[in-house]
Amino acid sequence: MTGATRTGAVAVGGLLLLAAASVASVLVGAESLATGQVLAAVRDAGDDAAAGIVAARVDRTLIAVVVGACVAIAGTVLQGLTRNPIAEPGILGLNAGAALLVVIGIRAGLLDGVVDYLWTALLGVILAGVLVHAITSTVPLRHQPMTTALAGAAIMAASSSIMVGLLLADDTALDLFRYWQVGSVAGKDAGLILPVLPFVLVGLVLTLTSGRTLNAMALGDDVARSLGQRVVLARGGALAGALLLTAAACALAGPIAFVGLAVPHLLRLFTGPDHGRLLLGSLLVGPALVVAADTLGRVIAPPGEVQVGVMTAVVGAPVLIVLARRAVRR
Amino acid sequence: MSPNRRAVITSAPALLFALSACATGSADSGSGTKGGESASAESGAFPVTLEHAFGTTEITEAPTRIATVGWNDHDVLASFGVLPVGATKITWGGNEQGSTDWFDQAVKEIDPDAEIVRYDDTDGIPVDEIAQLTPDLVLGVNSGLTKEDYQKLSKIAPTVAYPELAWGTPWEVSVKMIGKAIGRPDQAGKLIGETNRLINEAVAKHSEVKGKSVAWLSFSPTDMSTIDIYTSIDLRPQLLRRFGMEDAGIVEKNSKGEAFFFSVSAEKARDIDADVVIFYVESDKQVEKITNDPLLGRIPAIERGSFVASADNSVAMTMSSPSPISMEVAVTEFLPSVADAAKSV
Repeated sequence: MTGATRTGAVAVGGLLLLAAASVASVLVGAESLATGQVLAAVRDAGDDAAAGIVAARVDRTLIAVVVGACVAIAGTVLQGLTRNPIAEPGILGLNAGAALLVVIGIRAGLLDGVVDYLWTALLGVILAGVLVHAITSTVPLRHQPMTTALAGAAIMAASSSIMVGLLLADDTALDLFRYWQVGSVAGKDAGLILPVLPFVLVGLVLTLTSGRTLNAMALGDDVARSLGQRVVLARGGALAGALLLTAAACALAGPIAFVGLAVPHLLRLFTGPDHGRLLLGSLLVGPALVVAADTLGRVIAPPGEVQVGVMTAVVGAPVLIVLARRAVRR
Repeated sequence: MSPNRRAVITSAPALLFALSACATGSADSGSGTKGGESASAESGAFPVTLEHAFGTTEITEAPTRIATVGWNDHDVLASFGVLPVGATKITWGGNEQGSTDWFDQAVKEIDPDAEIVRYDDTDGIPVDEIAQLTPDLVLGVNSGLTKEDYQKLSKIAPTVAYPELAWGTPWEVSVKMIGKAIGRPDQAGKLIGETNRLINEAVAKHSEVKGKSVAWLSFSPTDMSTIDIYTSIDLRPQLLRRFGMEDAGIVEKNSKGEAFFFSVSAEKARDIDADVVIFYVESDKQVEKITNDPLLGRIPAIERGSFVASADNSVAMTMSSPSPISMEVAVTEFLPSVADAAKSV
């Protein structure tokens, strides 16, 4: 397959997956509605109860799409930038950094609304990112992938123990924080996307245009430089984009595990190593995966629901095991 | 609902206050007892052996320094006219002193000068603080003691844990066990009789509640996509049944094992087939948010207006950790609101 046909195949395949997941997400839920009822509700002609249910499903689907794109692209970019196959916002401690700052904000009574959460999450993501970078840059290049993951794990451990301490004594804060512990797109108004949208758009521009940079960097900084890439600037742009997307996803839904990790690996099986195709694929398959996981979570444990953050971990873990085994066999 | 929150809610100590007045008045050894000092035990009451979830505990003589670790064990104790030397700080539904009005009232009647240390159990049972009080009995009859907590506390003093479930001891069982532990089984019987009379009289006055089905819900202010509902083994539904109400069909169907609550998707709101629903709220604004929610507003009892939105945590606490002295608050301040809701069914 030529590069162009491959790109086309990724685009078409990704779009089909996303469309199928989104349709399922509106049709399927805890309460079983007939397809006719759902369609009537979508056309604004159904009975009130079905209309409420369908409206809520549409809202959470839209949020899941945005969140899925953000985390998958952030994962792809972080893996490319760090040349670390297990890099993603969760493992690098970025989600934990965001969560810690949000908890501090809640305890201080400073947070009101999604924009406050967004800025706070962004600050936390940046602080955690700087900390990981500072720790990683102290070791020789060949140890950096391992050190990055360890630094992320350390930040996660430290953040969560501080958070537990801060939250135990305050019941209201604990409740407000609940959706940060496990990511969830449920029970939220799609209107929340609007204030986050500027951050998402800037993040998308910065990351989706970074394909060439990431391809060149895959060969090493020296090669990248010799290929004429302005390494520091290009890397900074891509990184800034990934951090923006991570913060936006966190502000909307809390930490969503495994998607940022699994999607790029899954995609490489079809796209090959080219980052342009990988980023395009992440933009479509990331949302499809999150939407599908959320839909599955609605029907798997009746009469309740399982949050999407739990479902992505459940779905993502086997994918990773399969990928890891394939890698070993090769 | 997170376990932490749940523990807090289930363990509320509200019941004590109401009854303390009548209980201590009628209990012959009640008034005049000095703080922490045990008044006369009934003859032949010791030694006594109590069975509980972690084994058996023998108490050989009347305890004089009792520490409590549940959220209503001190309430039950006070209903006998006996005050603990230390009790758990009430961080949910309590007053500014980390106590409750009905317990404070009981203290005033039993011994206004009593010094009762309040320890915070947010980070777990404060074993060191309890040890410093040199108790000769530790009561956690309705508590969340773990086996480990129990083993540590047992080294300090004879410790009595809950008979079966953490945070799940019915008030009558608490009164019986604590009565035995302090050597007053007969007085325990009298207290239970008086409290039951109080409940019966109140229920007769509010007979609208009889035969109505009920579910006690819990909403999270941040995630309205699921609804938590207490199962029939939780103390709240237990007490509602004592008031003559019935568990709603959805509660019966989903009460399994030792779980205190189960979750229902907000899409299933219409399946909550209770005549009356009761839930906690932080503010009136939250009531509006729930009743206007396109999914939650579809709960039949909410659509009908036959619900109790309890913003007063201390009153709600009388339902989650009842005792003789808080029962008067429960029947005078909580039951009428349930009866009001039942009228509109």
